[in-house]
Amino acid sequence: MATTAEASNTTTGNTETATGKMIKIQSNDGQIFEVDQGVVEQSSTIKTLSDLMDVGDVPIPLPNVKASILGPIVDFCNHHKNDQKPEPIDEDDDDDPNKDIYEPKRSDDICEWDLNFIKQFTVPEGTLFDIIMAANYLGIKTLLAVGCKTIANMVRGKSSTEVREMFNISYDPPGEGINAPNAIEGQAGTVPTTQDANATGPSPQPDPMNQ
Amino acid sequence: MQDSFADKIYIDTVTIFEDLSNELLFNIFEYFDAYQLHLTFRQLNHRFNSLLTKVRVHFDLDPIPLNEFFSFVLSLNHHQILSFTSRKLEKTRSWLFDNDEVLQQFSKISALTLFDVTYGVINRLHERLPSLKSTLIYVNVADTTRTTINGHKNEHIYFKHWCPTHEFCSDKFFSLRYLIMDTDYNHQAFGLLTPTISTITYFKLGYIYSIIWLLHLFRYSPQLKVLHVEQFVGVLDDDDRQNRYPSKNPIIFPCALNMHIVVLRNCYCEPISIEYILRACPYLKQFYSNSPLDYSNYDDKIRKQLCDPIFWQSMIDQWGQHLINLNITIKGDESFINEDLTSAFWQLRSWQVKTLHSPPYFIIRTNGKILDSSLLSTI
Repeated sequence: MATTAEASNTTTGNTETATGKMIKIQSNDGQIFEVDQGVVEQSSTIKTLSDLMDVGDVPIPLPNVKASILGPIVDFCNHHKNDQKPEPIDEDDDDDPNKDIYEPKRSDDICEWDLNFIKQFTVPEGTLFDIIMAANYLGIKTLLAVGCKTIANMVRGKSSTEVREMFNISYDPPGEGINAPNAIEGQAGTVPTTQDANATGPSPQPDPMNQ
Repeated sequence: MQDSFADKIYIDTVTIFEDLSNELLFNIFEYFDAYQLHLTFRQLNHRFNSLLTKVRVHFDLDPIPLNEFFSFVLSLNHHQILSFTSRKLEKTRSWLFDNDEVLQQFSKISALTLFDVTYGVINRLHERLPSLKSTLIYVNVADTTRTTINGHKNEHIYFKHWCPTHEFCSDKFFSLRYLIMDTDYNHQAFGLLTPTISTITYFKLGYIYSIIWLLHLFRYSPQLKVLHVEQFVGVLDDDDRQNRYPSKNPIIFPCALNMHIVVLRNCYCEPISIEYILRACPYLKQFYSNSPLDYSNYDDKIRKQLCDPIFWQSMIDQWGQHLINLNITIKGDESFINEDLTSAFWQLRSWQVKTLHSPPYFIIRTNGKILDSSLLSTI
């Protein structure tokens, strides 16, 4: 049974507010959130779905996002809905030398509110990765950038060994991948990657992204 | 239908870093230069190693120990390297001269940033990586010295007539769009002897001596859309600073049809300079001019004219019809009082005009959206 988030102030029917038409979105565990146009505009996925579907009072299903993640995302978008958008100077917008990236992107420019926001998501609980994947799925570029910058800041200056520990990154199975005999021959001087008997890291797992 | 969607059972598993898609990992990789990226993600497992062979990287020479440099560069595919940055002369020299095989790994880069560099090094760069003429889109050269300690005394004459930094500002670099230099604009070295039409759209440079030279730049950079000058001396003629009547060369207006943004960070401007800039750039959308100098050292009459809203009103009415953002600051004197001079003309355009007593300034500013937009905050 679908439940409605208390914080979302749901009313019946097509709700019109000062900020325009309200739209309902539903998490994969059935919770419904009511969002205004300012939130919808920040999510290319929700915007496309609401434009394509004449949803009326029916919530837009978001099967890849659970309520515990969707709720904070709605908060994030509500906080940022009045942010000033960069004024388009030109149709082709090539006045900005930073539009195309000619050096690594900066990760030290997360605003204080966003820093505090992202702190509620952690690596051990997996929620930091959940919020990144949800931002990507929903097409919320600003939130995706905050998530990716946070990861970048966490691992910057760390060795791959430290990163492996921090994120529990799996080893290739013995004799496979970078542990294959021919790969090892070409890696003189690099750190061994085969899990040793005393290591506390995770067991080798099939890599779903490489299937 | 709604209930069936909600009633599905979802198994709540803890998401891990490796659950991120390749696309998201590439997003994260964009925050690292090549060396940092490989230190952090190399040799984790086959998937990460595979991604590292595909990601396009920005190469920053500074953090790389010289004893690792050659082997690290050769471990990359040259198509992977998007940009090169060096901030130390000795390292730049080593990069340029020590190993040609390593240097050729950078033959396809689209962006080059060199700080603390000599003209001689830039000159040799043109010779040793000629392929950059067709690949570079962005060049940033700063802290340039004319010569090294042991440089030849005749170099000054040489650079007067041909300056290696200005080679970037020629039609030989036909892909170049963004050029950032802290050097002077030397019209004798650029264009006057061998006129070339540059494709640059964004140009930031250190110094321009006069309005005539500025117009010269416009003439040979017809694609220019953004010009940022750190120091601009807006006299008409650098050979005769008191001359305010153009007679030497005919001036053709308009000559910068694509110009949208002009930023004069520190300038001494005369009224005729302002008029010429606006007439040269009929589609100018943003104009930023900061004059922190005490004009009384130059010409008190000119300062008084520039601090008169009527002067600006007349100028903008005639020549600045496409201006959206305006930010003008001119240093005043002790006679200035705090006064709002915004008339209906300025209100109509959402601009504010005022004088301040302490510190004494005359200011014209766009209301609400001052010129430090995302674009201008970067330049």
